[in-house]
Order: sequence, then structure tokens, then C-alpha cells
Amino acid sequence: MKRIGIIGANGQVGLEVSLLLSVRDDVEVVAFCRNPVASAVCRRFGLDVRHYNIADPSGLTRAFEDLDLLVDMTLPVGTAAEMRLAIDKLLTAVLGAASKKTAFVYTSSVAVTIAPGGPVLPFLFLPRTPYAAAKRFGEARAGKLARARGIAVSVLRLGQVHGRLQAVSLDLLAGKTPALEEPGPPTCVVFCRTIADALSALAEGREPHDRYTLLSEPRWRLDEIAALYADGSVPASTAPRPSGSTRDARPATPHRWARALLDQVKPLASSVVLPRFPGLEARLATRWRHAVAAGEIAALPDAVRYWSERIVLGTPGEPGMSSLPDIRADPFGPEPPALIVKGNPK
Amino acid sequence: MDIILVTTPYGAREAGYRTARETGAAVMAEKPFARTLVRHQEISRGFEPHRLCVCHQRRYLAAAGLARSLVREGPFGPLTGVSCHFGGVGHRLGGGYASDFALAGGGLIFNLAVHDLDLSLFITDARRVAVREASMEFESGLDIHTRAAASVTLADGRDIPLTILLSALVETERSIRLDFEKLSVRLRPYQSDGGLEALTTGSGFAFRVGEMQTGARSMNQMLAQMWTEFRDGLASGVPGRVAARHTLLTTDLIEQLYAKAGAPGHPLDTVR
Repeated sequence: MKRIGIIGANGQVGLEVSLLLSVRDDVEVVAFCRNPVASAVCRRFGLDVRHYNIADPSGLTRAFEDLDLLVDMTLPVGTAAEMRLAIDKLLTAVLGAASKKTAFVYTSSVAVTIAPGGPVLPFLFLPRTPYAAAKRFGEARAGKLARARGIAVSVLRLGQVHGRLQAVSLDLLAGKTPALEEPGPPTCVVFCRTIADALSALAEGREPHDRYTLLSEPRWRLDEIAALYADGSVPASTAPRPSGSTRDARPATPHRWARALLDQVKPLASSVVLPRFPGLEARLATRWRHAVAAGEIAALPDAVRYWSERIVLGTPGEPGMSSLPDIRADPFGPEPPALIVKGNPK
Repeated sequence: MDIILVTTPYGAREAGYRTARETGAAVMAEKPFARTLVRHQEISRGFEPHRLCVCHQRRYLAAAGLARSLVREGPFGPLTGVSCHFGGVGHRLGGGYASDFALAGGGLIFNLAVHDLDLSLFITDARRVAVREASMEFESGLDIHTRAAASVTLADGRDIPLTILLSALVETERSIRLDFEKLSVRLRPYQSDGGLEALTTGSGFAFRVGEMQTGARSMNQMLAQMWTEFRDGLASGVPGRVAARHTLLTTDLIEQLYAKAGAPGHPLDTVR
């Protein structure tokens, strides 16, 4: 039986995929987490857990030695530069420690394949967001490191992941997603079950190692997904559906080409150029956050800035509170002597 | 220095407080503040009430203010119960100092769900809280799952039940639910608008009250309100709504939960 290791098995997608793999007969799954606190939920579900430390290469080698497939399901966070750094550190450590007999799977996103040029520049396949750029970087880095060590590598580009434990699915179920008010177009989703199937197929060699895009077909609408999790119902029609994207029928004139190119400046800067200059990216990100905050604060009416209500917590003399009369007194009453600080210049 | 913002982990704050006491600076302390009432008092000693605040910025959420007014004014009848649910399967835990009990001071309750516990007490305008029973699961000294039953004494003297489920192991409703006599209302503190909504009561009656809210609807607005009140409090001498002395009941609840569940003690714990 093939054994699959999931790095980041305590994450949202990693946990659900690990659980789905654990109930299959054809594979065994090992959940990799950084420490016992992170792995608590995996152990609760009875998963085989191993802890890893990327600063310990020999420990990583021992932890990976009996695996047939190793899957990176970690989620990078932070600025583009921080995401790249985290991805690079993890991939360098993991692929440096894994043996040739252990194939590697890097989970990416369909976001890396969305053409920012849209209908005018459909050939311009540059990442549009820092996250997409980081995932594209991860794909390239995983490929390069794995090839250098003779390790088979696959890339799974995932659509929006749905499942019983996924926040997006739970939000749909709770009716928090506005799209439910009308059916909306089909979406690019993939279910955790599909990801588990794909990993099983790769581990057993039923599919060759390559780059795959995982999307459920026919395309699901959000209201259909909500119905699935609410009562188990599935769409009546299984006929393929259009993607929902509309190609602009107007001819691509030079003017529109120029406009479309200009529209790419910002996403290109944030996803391709700035990650190469971490200091500049951090400064610009800070300025951007300041601008957002200033806008939000300016929108706050003065009338609600101040609190006019008295707060009373606890009543002196109540049972159990007698030992704390000094700060449990009416906060707006006379100050208890214990809290008046001698020598406080302010 | 006029103000020190203390954002170091719980177990590494003493130097910040000491510096503030020595220099006379006011302090805005990140949550969590204290695990025990006595520790809360120890930290508070040396600061006038308006000069020591805790970052419980979610008290400024517009939906929290509205929920509090529903409790106070009673348009749906008197409040009959509260439940505080936080977390879900696989809720992010640990990482960095948060996996180190000595630094973090506690787990899910202390570092994450403290906002929800605080908000539950704030919204209900609680005067006392008494934990009747509590069970917890721990990992490396950190709480990762808590189920508890408590009672809250309201401003009118009535005691109502407070049900607590804070977990990284099981799914929760991820909200604070207020049960009034005629209607139940749910607050989702981590949605930008607070996600305050009335729940169906069986009569087919359901509506959202989100559009009626005014006030802070984003983290930036909450922080702006909190800091404005803090700054104005420094000038006027009036403690704002997140003054440390106004968060005593939250500390009281945390202390009772840990004590009732037999949680391991922390080196900084000082108890009565």
C-alpha cells in the first residue's frame, strides 16, 4: 500500500484531504505538522502524525524515508516577498531531505493560470496577485529543486476548494454568501474528495507526474454547493456548462491593446516586480494600509466615536469579590487609594 | 514617553509594564491581559485607571453596541441565555510563541477566544459571572478545547445561563448567540459588520439587522475609536470602555474556567 505524507495536514485543506485519504483502502496517510499543538486536531481524528522541523535535515530525511508521495499543502501568508521566502525555505529543506523514491506534489492554485489580459490580451499569462505570483514561484522552485535531485514532481493547481471542513463551504451553508440570493454563474471549484483521488492516483502511478489543474466538471454554482452540504442534493444536469466568462466580441484595436497593457501595470508591479525588492514592497504596503485606514476612519461619523454609557462591572461587597474592592468599585466613582500612584508625573 | 503599546507575548511583558511605571507612561496592552484577578490587580497597580487599557477593540464594533442596546432596552423581551462559540475543526493553533506555554500563557481561550468571552460579558452588561462546570483538553499546557456552563448576573439582578464552547477540535457555531424571550440574535464578531442577525423562531420570521447599524464596521475603525477614547481619557482622566479595570470580569471568567477545568498553572499566575 502506498504511503502519502501531507505537510500542513493541520490546515483547512490539508486536514480534510488527509481525513479523506485515511478512510481509503488503497493508501496510507501520514500527517506532518510542526509541533504537538498544531497536530492536536490530527491526532484527535486518529491520523498518523509526525512532527517536522525544517532546520533539522537528518530528522526530515528519517521522517520522509518510508513515503511514496510527499505533498506540500502549506499556505503561505504575508507579503509577496515573505511568501516567497517561506516557500523557498520549506521547499529547499523538504526536497533536500527527501529521497529519490519519494515523489513530490506541490499544491498550487488556478489563480496562476488566469490571464490578466482578459479578452484583449489572452496570451498574457502573468500572475495577477501576489498570492498567484508566490504560487507560480513555488511551482518553478519545486520543479527545479526536485529535478536537481532526480525526484519526480507534480503540480496540482486547485480551484476554490470546497468540503465539509472548508470555511467557504460552511459560509455557503450558513447563507453568508450573497451569491445564494440568485443562482449566479458556474464557478471554478474543486472538492477535497477530488484532490484525495488525484493524490491516490499519483501515489499508485495511475497518473504520470505532471502539472494538473483540478476543477470539478460540470461546473457547480454556489447555490448548488450549498444545497449539496445542506441536504446532499446534487445538480440534476451533468451536461458540461460554459465557464461563465464572456469573451469581448469587439475587435482588439491598438487603443484597446494599449489600455489593456496599462491595466496590467499594477498587478504586474505587485506580483512580479515588488517581490524582488522586499524593502520597497514593505514600505508601499504600509503606505497602502495607512491610506485604507485613513479612508475608513474618515467614514466614521463623529457621533459614534465617543462612548457615553457608564460601565459598571461587579459590585463591591459581593461574595467572592471582597478581596478586590479597590478595582471592582464603580469605575466612575471616587478613586480607591490603592490605585492612586505616588510619583506618577502624569 | 507618553504611551507604551505592549504587544509582546503574555510571558514577556513585565519589562514593558515596569518601564511604563518608572517613566509615568500610560499603557495600551494587547490581549490577553491576565489569567487571574490578583495578577490583573498586580499589573494595574501603579497606573491610574484611565492610563491602562487592554486591546479589546471588538467592544467598539457597531454590532456589539447594538446587541448591548437590545439587552438593555429589551425590544425582544428579557435576555434568557447566552452562548459563546468560537473556533472549529482545525482552527489555526500554535506557531511561533503561541506554542510556548511560558510565553503564550494559555491556548485558545487566552489568546484567541478571549475576545468572544469579553464581548459576551460586555454585550450582556454582566455584573458577575460564575462558572458551574468546565472541561478542557490541553496540549503542551495550552487549552485547545473547552466546554463550560456558567451563569451571568445581569444588571437587573437576574441570573442567566452562559454556555461556552471554544474549540479547535470540534465545529462550533462561531458566534455569540443571545436568546431573548421572543427572539434569538446571533453576532459574528469576526465579520466586518459584526454579522448581527435575528434567527428564525419558528414563525417564519427572520431578518438581518446589519443595515441598521452605525459605528465601527472594520478593524481600522474599531482601533481608531479605541485609541481616540484612550487618548481623550488621558486628557480627561475618565477611563474608557477598554480600561483594564473594565475588563476585570473577563479575567474573572478566564480564571474560573482554568480553575474549574484543572488547567496547569502558569509561572505568572498569582491567586487569592
